[in-house]
Amino acid sequence: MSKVLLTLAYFLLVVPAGLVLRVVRDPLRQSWSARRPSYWQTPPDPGR
Amino acid sequence: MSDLVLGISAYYHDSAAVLVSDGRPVAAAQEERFTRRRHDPAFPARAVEYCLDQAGATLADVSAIGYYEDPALKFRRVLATYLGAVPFGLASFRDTLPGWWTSKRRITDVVRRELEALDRGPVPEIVCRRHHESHAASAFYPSPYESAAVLCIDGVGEWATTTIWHGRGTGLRPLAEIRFPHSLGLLYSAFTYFCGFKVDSGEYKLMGLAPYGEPRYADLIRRKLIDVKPDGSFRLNLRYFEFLRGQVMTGRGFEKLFDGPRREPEGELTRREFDLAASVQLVTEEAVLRLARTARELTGESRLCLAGGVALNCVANGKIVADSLFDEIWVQPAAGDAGGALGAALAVAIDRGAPRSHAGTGLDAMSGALLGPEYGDEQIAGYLAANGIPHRRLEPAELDAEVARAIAAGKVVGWFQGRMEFGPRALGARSILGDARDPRTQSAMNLKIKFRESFRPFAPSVLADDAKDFFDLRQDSPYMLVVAPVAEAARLAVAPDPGLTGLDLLKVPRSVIPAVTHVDGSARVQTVHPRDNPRYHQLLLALKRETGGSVVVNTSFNVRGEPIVNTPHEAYTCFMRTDIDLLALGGFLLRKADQPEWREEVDWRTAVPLD
Repeated sequence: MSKVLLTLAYFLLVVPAGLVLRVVRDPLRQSWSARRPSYWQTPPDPGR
Repeated sequence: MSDLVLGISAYYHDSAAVLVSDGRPVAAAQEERFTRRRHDPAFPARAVEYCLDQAGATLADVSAIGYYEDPALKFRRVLATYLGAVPFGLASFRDTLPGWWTSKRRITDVVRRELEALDRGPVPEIVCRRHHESHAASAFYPSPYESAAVLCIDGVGEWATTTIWHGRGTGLRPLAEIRFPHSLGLLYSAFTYFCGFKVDSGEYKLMGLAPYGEPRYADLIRRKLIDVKPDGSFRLNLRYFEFLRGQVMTGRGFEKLFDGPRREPEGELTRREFDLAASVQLVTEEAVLRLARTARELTGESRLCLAGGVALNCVANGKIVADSLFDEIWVQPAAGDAGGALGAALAVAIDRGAPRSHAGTGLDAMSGALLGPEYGDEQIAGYLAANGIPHRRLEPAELDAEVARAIAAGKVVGWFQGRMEFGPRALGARSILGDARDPRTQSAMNLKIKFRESFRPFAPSVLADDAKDFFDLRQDSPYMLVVAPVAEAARLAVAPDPGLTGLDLLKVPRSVIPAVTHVDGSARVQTVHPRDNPRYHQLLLALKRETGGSVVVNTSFNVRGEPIVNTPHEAYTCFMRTDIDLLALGGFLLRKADQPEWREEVDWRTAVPLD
């Protein structure tokens, strides 16, 4: 894959999608919360 | 007819192949041992071939292949990471997306092609098991326990970084998890990187550095980098970490927080690195202990099984043992990703109805982790003759006695016996041995054999029956993954000397076994049982007859930067490249003084990359 193609894909596809997602919901940005007693998450169904 | 399942881990680090027969591992090896490339991530072709050869099988005899993670799920996490990092992260995207797009997300196709290329018969179905499920399976299924709490902590698999499970009989139930980017493994790796060591291989060095420092940064870490709740769950503060957007772990955030730029690899170690190591180690231990407690509460079990890269933090494991929260813990010897191959195979085998016949008998199913290739005396004899290597052939009892005398006299002995170990530790099959009682052994072995930094201590093996005389260890530690304090009775009074700092602290004898005692009085112990490694057990008995004690320095048989040796030739090469005095190669004894001059075309010291 050419560098040019990848760069284009990044700015034309990834960046806009990422910015939109950041508004809607952002699984990678969870901040600290003193209120919450726990950060445990329920594991998803094994679903093999 | 046994049911054979082959497990594979590959493409990240520590590729490995494991063959499981009726639910029991019968062959296992890391690819690095064959290719001689440390932590080799390439497809484990040679390890697969070894496993098949060991069992006298072809792929036609294998019912299914287990792969240690779910590449499609992992790719979704990689995509989410690109999206989350915008508008930064172009370089990472450009460098890593092609690999993912073309092959990594369809690993099963790649694995199938690689297996077909081996020409060992038709390739059976390939089943992907999730990364943490593979770790959990490797931790619980081979453990001795009917039921147990299971805790897996690593850098990251697909999404999960920390998971708790309840193992019962042939079932493993997931109870709780923490997901990327919140990861104890990545936290530890970030500090590994910042202190100038290699990520994914240098964490161990950071752990060894910790006892030299003061945890004066621990508060800062707790306030700024990681929020750990009372139940052990945690979140990182991603503003300080680069791994989401870049290809390095830390950036200016860390520099501002920790008084300056990261240490350059091979640069001078300063007070700051000692203290950073002590600090992150303390915070990690606190988190691990809370996680263990939660595992206990969620399951009600009195036994704990551990796996995942962070389970290689044997100091933290030792704290769990000392805490007496559990009656006993069991750590998978290949706790890192190589063990994922084992876990994937076991998970598939169990699904196919394999039993856990060893459970409840007090024995585990790892065969002492001695699951690699062995070389019989006739094979070794052939090698020695073909190369004109001076040697003597001895009966085992004679050999043991001579080796014991040599160790007692301060000689360094290469010990090559039986099947090679699976996992990062040498356990008396591919080991270099030395006198634990001599205060000079530590620096002598460091400089002459390992050509490595002098701050890292060596570690002891001891007869399981004698362990209590030398170590405060509440349980067995057959795989050298638990650190314990040296027992009071074996300690020496040490007058505190405030003038001594850093590496000078190591030279102070703190016990009757100074070569294996760290500056904080601790040791990473291997307790040796006759059922796990009868040959090594015999040697330690001989050593006890010779010196009155069975503690020996056990370090891995390799020069710095290379993987542990596999073949007799690799053992001989290491023997000749270093100042090892004596080599016990199966039933043969080789003295350095008798050997012809060693010549190599290339200076191996530049050829073997530093680790």
